[in-house]
Amino acid sequence: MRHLEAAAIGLVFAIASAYMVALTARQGAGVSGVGAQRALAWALLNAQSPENVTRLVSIALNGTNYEVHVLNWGEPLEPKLPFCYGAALVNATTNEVKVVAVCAGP
Amino acid sequence: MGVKRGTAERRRGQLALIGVIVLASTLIALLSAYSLQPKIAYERGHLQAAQLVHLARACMATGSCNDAKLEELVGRLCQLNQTYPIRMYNISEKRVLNPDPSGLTVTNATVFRIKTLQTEFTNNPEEVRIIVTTASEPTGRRYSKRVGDRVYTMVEVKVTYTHSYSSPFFNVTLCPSLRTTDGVADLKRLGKCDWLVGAPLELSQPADINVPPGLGVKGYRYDLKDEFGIAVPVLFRG
Repeated sequence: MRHLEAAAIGLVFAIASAYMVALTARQGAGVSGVGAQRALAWALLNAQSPENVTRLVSIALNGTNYEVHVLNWGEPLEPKLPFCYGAALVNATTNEVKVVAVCAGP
Repeated sequence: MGVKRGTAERRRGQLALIGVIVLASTLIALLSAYSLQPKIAYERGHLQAAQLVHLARACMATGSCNDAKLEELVGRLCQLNQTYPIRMYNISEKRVLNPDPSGLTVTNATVFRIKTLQTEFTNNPEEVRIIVTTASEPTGRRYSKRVGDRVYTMVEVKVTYTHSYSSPFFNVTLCPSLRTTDGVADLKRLGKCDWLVGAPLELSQPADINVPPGLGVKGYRYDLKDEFGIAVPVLFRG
């Protein structure tokens, strides 16, 4: 009987731990979102081209779960991760516009 | 008799404990299956100010930035803002300040006034200011340079070139790299923002220079480009 009690308590402890870990990971998503915003801002300040932005964002967000989209005007943004920030890269001489979006999440 | 009662009490206690454990396990399992829907407040500020800096630089890179062109670019941004998660602030004012040649220094500036969260309380729009400064200082040295079958008279000028961005969210000074558009000029980086430029006199355009201020002097202007495509005017006397 004591073995059964010990096993039951162990099971409860394991389930509770797993739940806490899952909860912490989900709450971390907000922090990633803030990181994505500042990373994209920094990349934009140093940007000459969309490729340049993409490279700088990947340096800044190393270790974070994120995705970068480079879109033409009108192209829909279809992210897999939920929290997105976007920036428009404009070449006023050639009238070319690209949208760079960085999405982060758990 | 006493032993029997003790055993029965222990068994009841054990059953109660198992009941509590089963109940707790069920509750925790149910909570694990429940998906959280956190409320997210998107952070705004750095990215929106950086976006305006980028827009001002793009306007300057056309070589003929004025209020109308800036207005057009902001209009395009507002259109994109409706489709993509740019989350731009309401821009209440945008101004291109014309180049102010004072001596051998040329300053181009663009100012945006935006309505941030703080504006809601203070009623004062906040500013994003982009200032591009080129300060030329001729060293007095001249030399000849042969490119192909042509010989150019090169005028040596020390140039300090800076981009200063100020906003409620950041204050940044960049020292962008410079390049020549004709492959004739000599360029050497002396420090972060300091350059030693050899400008070909034959490829320079005549320009009025106010040295000392108020006294127009005939001089020359030779344009380089920075890494963002903005023209960098190198000024020197004839």
